[in-house]
Amino acid sequence: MTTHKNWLEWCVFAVGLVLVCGTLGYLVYDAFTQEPLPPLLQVTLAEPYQHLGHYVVPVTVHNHGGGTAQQVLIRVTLRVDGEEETAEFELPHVPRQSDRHGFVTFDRDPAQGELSGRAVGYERP
Amino acid sequence: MPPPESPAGRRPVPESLREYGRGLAGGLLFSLPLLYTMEVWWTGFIVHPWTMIAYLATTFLLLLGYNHYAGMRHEATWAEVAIESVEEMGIGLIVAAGVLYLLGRITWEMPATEIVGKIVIEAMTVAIGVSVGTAQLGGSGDEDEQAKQDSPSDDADQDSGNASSSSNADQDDLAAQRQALRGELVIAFCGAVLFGSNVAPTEEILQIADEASAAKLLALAAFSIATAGLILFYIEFLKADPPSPERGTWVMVRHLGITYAIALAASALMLWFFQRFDGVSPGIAIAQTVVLAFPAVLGASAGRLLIR
Repeated sequence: MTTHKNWLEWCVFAVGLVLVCGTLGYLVYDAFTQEPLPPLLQVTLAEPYQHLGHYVVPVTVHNHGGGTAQQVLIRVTLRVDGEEETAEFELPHVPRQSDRHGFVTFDRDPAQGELSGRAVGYERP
Repeated sequence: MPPPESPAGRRPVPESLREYGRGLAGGLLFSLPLLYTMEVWWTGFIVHPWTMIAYLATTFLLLLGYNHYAGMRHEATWAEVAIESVEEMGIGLIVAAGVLYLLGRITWEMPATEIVGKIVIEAMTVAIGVSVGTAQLGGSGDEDEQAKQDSPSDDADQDSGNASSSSNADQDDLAAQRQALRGELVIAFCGAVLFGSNVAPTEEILQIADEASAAKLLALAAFSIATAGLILFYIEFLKADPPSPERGTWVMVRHLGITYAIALAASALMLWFFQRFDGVSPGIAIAQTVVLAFPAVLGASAGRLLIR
């Protein structure tokens, strides 16, 4: 093969080859290691803080599963003296192995009671 | 070979830089709508890695086809075409990653699957845009002119030489025609994908397909074919063939049919990739294909003209 490439073109080709092979390699690795699991969501609540008379609780949603969860409805419940207060928000997508962050707010002080959160519903794309 | 060669027979570096610049411009021009579409980002993390690999492989085949039939260097060997395609994919990956980062669609906190998925899905259209940009945005360069004038004059020489000769030459002619047709089909497919992919991932296709009546879909199909005919034969768009008497109606109908068929096939492929066929009835699937085939056939017919 007669070639008329200069050093720049060979460099671009080398970089391109590395990138394409690397991407392909990663995708193949990912395809073989990805377990056929449904989306598995874990809701973690962080330390509440007060803002303008409300109590704000940061929420982290992590998807341990093998597929994306869509239209995820997160509901957090606060129990104080036997009374329940709930707050919720929706996440459009939580891709597999990913984190998404949100917040819920309460009128009562979460420090006085007990907080629990979970994903009450989500769909698969 | 390009005329401005250095003694070693290599292209000068500034020349290649300009070529990459054209590629970059083309890549961005053709893929910017996709880089700004959220359904595309989502597809990046929703689809399975195997689908992504199939997407990568399909794009590579399209690049090979495009660079072979419409690339700047018509005398290039398959190895050179492959090298060029790898370069374009690499540029596509870099450009897609850069733009997605600037747009805040990829961040360092994201898991690798999400980052790689988003980059790959965007990079493939960028790569096709780079390829088209490199080959088509040049224009005024001498080498371009020469390359484009070479093939028709060759054909003409062959034709005049063949007129008086044996069936062997006829066969050559037929083979050349087949080759040319194959080239046109590949380019038409590339054009269909390039145009169609801008709207294929959007929710709008499904909505239009869902609400359209059968009569409207039929009318849309007829309108698509008519527009393709307009571009291919009547309005002297770029290098379109003027309608000539020896070119029968039948030939035009056949060309239109092939072009629309390619647009339909490309549309179905794109919709399948963007998971628009998952869990829908066959009727809706066909309706979506017809809806998407309109932009696709525009790309296919415009694409076919680019190598004439």
